[in-house]
Amino acid sequence: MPRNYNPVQALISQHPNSLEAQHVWLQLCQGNSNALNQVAEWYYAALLNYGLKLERDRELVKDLLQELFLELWTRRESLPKPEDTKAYLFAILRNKIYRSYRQQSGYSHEPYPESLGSEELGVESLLIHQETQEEYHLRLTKALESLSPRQREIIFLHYYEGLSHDQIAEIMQLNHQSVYNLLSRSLKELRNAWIVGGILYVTNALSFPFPGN
Amino acid sequence: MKKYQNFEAHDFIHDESFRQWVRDPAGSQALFWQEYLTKHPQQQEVIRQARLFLEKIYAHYAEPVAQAEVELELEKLKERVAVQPVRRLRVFTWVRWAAVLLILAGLGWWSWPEKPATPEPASLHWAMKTNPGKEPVTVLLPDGSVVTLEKNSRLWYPVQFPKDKRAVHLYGDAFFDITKNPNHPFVVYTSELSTKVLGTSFWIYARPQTQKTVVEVRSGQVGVRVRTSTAVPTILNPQEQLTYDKRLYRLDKITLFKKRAVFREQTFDNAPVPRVLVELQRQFGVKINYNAEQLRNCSINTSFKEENLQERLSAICQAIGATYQVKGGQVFIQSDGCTP
Repeated sequence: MPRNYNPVQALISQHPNSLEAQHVWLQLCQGNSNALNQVAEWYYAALLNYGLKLERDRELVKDLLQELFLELWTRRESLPKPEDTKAYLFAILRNKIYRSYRQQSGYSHEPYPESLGSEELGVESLLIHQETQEEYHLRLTKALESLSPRQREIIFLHYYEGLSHDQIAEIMQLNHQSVYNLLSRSLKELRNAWIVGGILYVTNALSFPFPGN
Repeated sequence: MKKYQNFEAHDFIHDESFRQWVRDPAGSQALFWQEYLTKHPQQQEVIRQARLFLEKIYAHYAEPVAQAEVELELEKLKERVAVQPVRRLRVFTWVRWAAVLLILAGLGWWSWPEKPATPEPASLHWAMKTNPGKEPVTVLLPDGSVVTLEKNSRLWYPVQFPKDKRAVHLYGDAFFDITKNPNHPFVVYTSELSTKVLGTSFWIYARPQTQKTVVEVRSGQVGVRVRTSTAVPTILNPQEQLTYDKRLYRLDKITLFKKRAVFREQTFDNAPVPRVLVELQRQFGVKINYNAEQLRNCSINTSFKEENLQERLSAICQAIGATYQVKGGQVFIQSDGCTP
């Protein structure tokens, strides 16, 4: 998965465990600029990837990220001590992107990209692909696109980023029950869209018991 | 391996090691999962489902983010932080707090139990040394200890050690040669282990991507503890090696039969000291400051094998009647010169 594999980058961008993260965060609060660089090295790529799920303008997301890290630096003396650095940063970025939607125009702006990638794939390509792997991918894409933006976001946070319900609650500013509900609803719809596509066994992976499912 | 035996597809999907394997099928987790698959054929189908699902999720959501793009942005950030104005003295804040404290003290609040101490005093400023190159780099710590940092590794250490404790953080591999100080133990933190010593030399291999952390002792005695555990530390003696498996949460101690090959042999045959120092500087990657004019007539006969940088410096200085100091990660030699 990593392109142009760079061992130093792999070393330092590997997400830290909570003890390391706390240590470095404390250093940041005490005004150590190395610590700010370390935090940025750890989370930059993940933040950019997440930001692009919410806002397609890459340069804007990058600007917002610069702003985010600079604010960590200028506010270092009064920064909270978050239990989970990653979720904390994701939440700030999300807020920033939402604020930028509001600033962009008076009228309501669709807060999410209309589709996530694969715009060039039409119905024809779906028929042409014979290879099953390709088919699965397309069907998943179709199924995901049938979901609402919020549902796609929660699937991203939970499965791609592997975040817990608590972390997602912090990022999306929902309570625990709402996270559960939104996630199980999203999965149910994803499963349905998938079954319509005729693929059953991948969806078995998703058939776990949710309270209230 | 027991942990996984009752796993369903969704459990695998959320297991960090499993996720890492799907992200990077040839990476550090590959061996474990290939072995696991052959040993547990009944779970093959569940694993296949989980894997397929994750693969698709990764492929779908991964945005191509080029390394160069990230590096450029990180550079930009560094520059911007560097031009931030220096913190102004907060006299007023100080005065205000002092006033509050006086009032509180007057109210007798001082008798309240103290909050649990933070792990590090607030004033501690940490330096960071990264070795991105191919050759090992030597880091001189404020207490005179010498750390040989291997490639692609990083060390965090305080610019000045506090009175009671010497502690550093390591990401990657390094050899430590710690100055003896029985009153102030030296602790190396890696992501999972803490290694405590009084004065000794040892290796630590702690790359974040690998499954195992290894501590190997060359001289003296060290105590190793899993950071999250309260168990008694495991004591290691010379030529003993301890391996910690991050996933199985298991510590294994073995004795090595062969003493590890030493590095950095140097022989000097009636060599002028300035040349010797240049050679040392090159070998250890540490800046050595000296007055070449004063040392013009000094020369030595010696050979080094296992000696660390400090021992070599001491030997050289003793031979020519000089002294040396370590300041800010550099060596300073003071000498009155030698008679020709």
